Amino acid sequence: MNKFQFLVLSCFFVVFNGSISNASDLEFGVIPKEDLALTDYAPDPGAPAFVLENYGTYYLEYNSGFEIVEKRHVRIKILKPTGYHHGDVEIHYPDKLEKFKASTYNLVNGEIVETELDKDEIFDELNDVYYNVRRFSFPKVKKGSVLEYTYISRHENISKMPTWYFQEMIPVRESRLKVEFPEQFTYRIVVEGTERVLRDQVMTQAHFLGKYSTFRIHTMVAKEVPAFELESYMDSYKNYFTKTDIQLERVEFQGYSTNQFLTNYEKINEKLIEDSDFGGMLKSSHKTRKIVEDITMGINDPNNKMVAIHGYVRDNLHWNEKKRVFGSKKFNALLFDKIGNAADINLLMVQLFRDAGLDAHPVVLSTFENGRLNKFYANPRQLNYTIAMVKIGDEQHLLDGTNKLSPWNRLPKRCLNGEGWIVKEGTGKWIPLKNNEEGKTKLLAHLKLAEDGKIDGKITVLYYGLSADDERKILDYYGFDKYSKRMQDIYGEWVINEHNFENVDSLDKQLVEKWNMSLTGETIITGDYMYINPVVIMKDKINYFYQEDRKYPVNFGYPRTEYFFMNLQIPSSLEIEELPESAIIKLPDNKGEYTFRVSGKGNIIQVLSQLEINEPFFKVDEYKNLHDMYNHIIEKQSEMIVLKKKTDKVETDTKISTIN
Amino acid sequence: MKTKAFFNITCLLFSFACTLHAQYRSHPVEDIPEELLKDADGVIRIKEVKFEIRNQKSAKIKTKVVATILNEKANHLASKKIKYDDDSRVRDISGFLYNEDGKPVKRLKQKDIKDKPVYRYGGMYTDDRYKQFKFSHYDYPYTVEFEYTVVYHDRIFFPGMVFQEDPNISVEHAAYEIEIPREMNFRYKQENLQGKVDSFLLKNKKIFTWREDRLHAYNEELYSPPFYKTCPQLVTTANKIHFDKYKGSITTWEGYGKWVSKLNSGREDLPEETKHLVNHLVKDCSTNLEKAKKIYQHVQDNTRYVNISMGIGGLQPAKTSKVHETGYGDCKALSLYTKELMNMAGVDAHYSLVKSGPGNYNFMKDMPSFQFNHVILNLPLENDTVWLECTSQTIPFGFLGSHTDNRPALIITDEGGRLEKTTKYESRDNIRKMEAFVDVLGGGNAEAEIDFHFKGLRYDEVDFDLLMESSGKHQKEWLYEYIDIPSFKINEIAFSEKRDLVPEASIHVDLDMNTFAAKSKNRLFFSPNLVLKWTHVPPVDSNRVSPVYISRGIRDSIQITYRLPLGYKIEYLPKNKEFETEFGTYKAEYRKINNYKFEYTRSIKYNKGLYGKDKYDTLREFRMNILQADKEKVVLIDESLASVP
Repeated sequence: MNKFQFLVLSCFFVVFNGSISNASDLEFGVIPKEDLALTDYAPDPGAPAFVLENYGTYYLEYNSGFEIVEKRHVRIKILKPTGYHHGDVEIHYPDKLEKFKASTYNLVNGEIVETELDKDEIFDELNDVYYNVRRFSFPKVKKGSVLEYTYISRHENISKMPTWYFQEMIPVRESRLKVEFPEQFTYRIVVEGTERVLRDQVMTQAHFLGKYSTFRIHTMVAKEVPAFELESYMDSYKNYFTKTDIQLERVEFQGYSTNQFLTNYEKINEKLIEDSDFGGMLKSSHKTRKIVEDITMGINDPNNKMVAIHGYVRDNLHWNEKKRVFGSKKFNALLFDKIGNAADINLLMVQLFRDAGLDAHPVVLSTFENGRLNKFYANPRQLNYTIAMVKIGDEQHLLDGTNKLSPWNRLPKRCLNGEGWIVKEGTGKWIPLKNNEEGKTKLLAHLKLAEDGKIDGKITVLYYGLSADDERKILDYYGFDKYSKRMQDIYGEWVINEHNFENVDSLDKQLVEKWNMSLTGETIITGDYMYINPVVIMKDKINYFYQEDRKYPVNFGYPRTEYFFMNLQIPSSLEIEELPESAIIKLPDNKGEYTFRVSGKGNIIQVLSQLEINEPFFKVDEYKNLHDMYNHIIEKQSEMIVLKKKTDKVETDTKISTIN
Repeated sequence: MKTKAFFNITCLLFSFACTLHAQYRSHPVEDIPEELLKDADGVIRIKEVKFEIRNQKSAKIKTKVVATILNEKANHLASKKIKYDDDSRVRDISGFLYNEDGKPVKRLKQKDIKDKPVYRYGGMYTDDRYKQFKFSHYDYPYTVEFEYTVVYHDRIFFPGMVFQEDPNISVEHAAYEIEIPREMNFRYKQENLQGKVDSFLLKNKKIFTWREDRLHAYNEELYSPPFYKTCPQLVTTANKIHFDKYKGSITTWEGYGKWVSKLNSGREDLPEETKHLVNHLVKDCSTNLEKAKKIYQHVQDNTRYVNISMGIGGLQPAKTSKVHETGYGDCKALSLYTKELMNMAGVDAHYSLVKSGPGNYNFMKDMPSFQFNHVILNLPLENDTVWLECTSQTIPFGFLGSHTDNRPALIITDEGGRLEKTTKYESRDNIRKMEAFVDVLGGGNAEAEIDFHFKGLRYDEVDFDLLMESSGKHQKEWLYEYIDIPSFKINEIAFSEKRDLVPEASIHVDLDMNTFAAKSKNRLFFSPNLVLKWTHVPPVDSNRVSPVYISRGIRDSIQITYRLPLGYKIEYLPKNKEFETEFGTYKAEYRKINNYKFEYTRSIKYNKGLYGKDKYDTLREFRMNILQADKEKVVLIDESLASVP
């Protein structure tokens, strides 16, 4: 994605070359003995390896053009055999790599022994399109080794400085980055992530462009950074990884001045409208008008026009699974190939809406797995997807044409990520990315319990919103026969028959799944009693939140409800002795609620179990509530119903009452 | 005359029309026989592979594939990745895309052919590359046609052919042809093929052809033999090989071994001073076994596995001096290095080739050929033969996991090669055992002390390194997989190991379990089998086609003593259960010790094997019985209530 980079300053100046501050305070080859003697890393005793120091400096240099120079110096400590693979290193570099050195240090009989990396053991892979890769494996890696490498790499694209990662998959004892630039170049430095980074800035005078200039030296230091870990129900790791985003904001010298860098959304808006692969694509043609004419023939209502156009795009164009902001081909080519990326498809949809006289605009966003957009420190590289917005009256509708199995008014989960930016001439703005309908699964069971403990009856499952889309996708992928087989495989103890679906093709309706089943072995029969669990049929009993601690927030992606209702008819020879107590568990701020209700009357027992997550995002300090609620749910769902054989007395009573 | 001319013209016209027609429509979907569409995601219309051997060093493989993609699950048929290396080139790539009617829609262009390095990751080095090309099309059904040639100029591996590569892809026509100079010979073996070889002479060449037609698609059934055991395939091999300067005849395992030993000769070049190191290492050892252990430990402490696939098709090990210098190598280099160190200490050791992978699949003993993918070391010690895996820093001395155990290995000596079976771990040695003491508390919580034991091949099951090193998070993750309690807290966890030839490991866990027992007002319910529950039951299947296949035998045993909370007594203890079928035995017993204590024991013996399809229902019943017995619950009742008559 080189779309957003530009500006090559092709002027000749006498420029200060080289870094002002010390690139690093580390001297290659001089390893403190105490680091070699370490046998574990105190803040994380389990760590198989950790980074002792990761030091870097970024500065500008002028050769045949401006370049960003990246100096890096890394030391890694190996503690255990499972950490040996940290001795296999890959360096990605865009243009040039210089002054590369690497050595392993071991303590042998109390003496430090250095083993240099043999030049023959360096493997370079040169690529034209992306970046080059240097690969190597440190020699003599064993428990206790210290590995050290250093290099300088040059980046011809100066609009962005390389991302600096303070955090890694192993702990980092100290990570330090220095960024220097003269007053003529202003870089905006943003530190993202959850770990603490100390920042400091000093000014100094140095020679630049033939005269003295003020340089800024930013220093960022993070110490004892814990290893990054992935957790269940997490959104993009990019939201939490501690790293930099450093972008060029302004250039100003000798009468030349520009601040056209994309550091806020108004500027991104302008740039997108001008871009030939975005705004430039939105042109009406004979072909687009003809399509619109054909599909909206006889339709006057703007809402219906919108739905018809969306349906046309969804059903006729194929998404190649590529998430993109920019189109890759002209509309004519797209209409011929019938396949394109998300932007191709949705930009065409915007044009068709416009040709139908609707007020439509593209909306750019960052997908769920790509991380949240930083609204205040715009970074165009964060954007990775384009959808369409149509305004009818006061209503703004968001539409995505990439999903074959979704109705017009549903965005896929990947798009539900905070807010998107409406790209509109002069007046772009933010819009929340949400669906009107939540994801919901409703399981209704009408079951009959026999005296021998066998259960049989009818199950109906209703899927709404994104739950319906998900299930339709699975059904479409496997086809009904295999879907049904798969279900029988999962629930092998059930004997399932008359399995069928309704509304498979009516995308705007809920999907309905029905089957009859019988099941044995779910009851305990002892003498006069029979015991049965009230949620005898639940698709999912796993506790995703069994861990007590949480490092990063939980994100369900979208609001959802899981509803279970059972009507259980018990044999006439039994009566209800005990039912579990009903309960309602509420999360603070109405973020979620669990309802459990059991009631019995005569020979009918009704059980309701419903989990609602109204607000999908839970901060780390809210995790405990979620954890507790899930434990509570499991506890409630495990409680038992006690049934008892009707006593003779009751029998007599009945007889008497019949006589009366 | 006139009639003839007329006839000629009609003929001409007719053939012209045919050509036009043929050009216009290729492989329309309607031409696919109905029977090939059933259960199919795609159909291989034509697959023709022609292997043209020029001489012992050079050859060409020409491939033509026409495939119809019926739905998205077969889209992979529209994309190709052809690997090549420093010795081979991919040439003459062409491709066409046809729509349902067989009309050409697109033609593969030069710019659509990508040239990429083989995927690499940290610690993997190779020069291999591939040509990648594909059609992205989603208008089902559609048909693709690809042709390409791979040219080998210095080494030839004899490729075979799998005539049907996927059970859900049917095959209309597949053929394989070998063209070989008269003076050269080769061997082949065909498995599950309907047809036979057809051979004839053509000038100074011999031609051999195989063809298979109309191979139906089918849905793979659960508990059925793996596809690679039942698919139609042809395996071929050269008799003589000539890679670089290394010549050999591989018609016998002995000859194969000789050739490998040639490849390895001169690769053991450790400097003289290593001998001092070795002598120093083993100075206190009196037996070869002790020496071997010392050296193995030294190798584990000082080397690591790095995958370097370069030179002579990746078959020749790096020099041992290189391993000594860098401290790393692949399985070949590390094994040879260990061998040389062993030899220096006077311990006999042999470089041995083995086919690594789960299960001992399709090793063809009667067909000496390239069938191996891994190297280990064979040590013929006085009392026992020991095999060493040289790529792991942590595996116990002499232990082979389930990827290299109980299968033929080719032991390389100077005299040649000979097959010998690697260690077999008897099922009585492959044990997973769990013993526990559980104190059930009045509120339904419980305190438990659990001991897990893993022995033999089951030792493989737990990643001890990860568990021992990691924070409580991973330990909890691990335990969550094993025990059937959704919420618990680990108070203490301890590990111990017996690093013998048949290794053992134990994990002791002390934990608090919340919601251990389910409650009602006056009762507590809990499932006494709190670990290793068997939950899968094969679904009802009245049209079973394949035989029943169990890939792995299992022995599990559980013994748990329960102490009941004060104020409660046992209302219901499930009955003892015992099931016996050809698939194995299951036994669960409840033994009341006193009013406050009972003992639960449960053992499973599950036999691997191939059984008739009519046994499927027996299997289902057996697994259903196990599932139901495993989830049985004990009921405790408030003593004050229980005493009421």
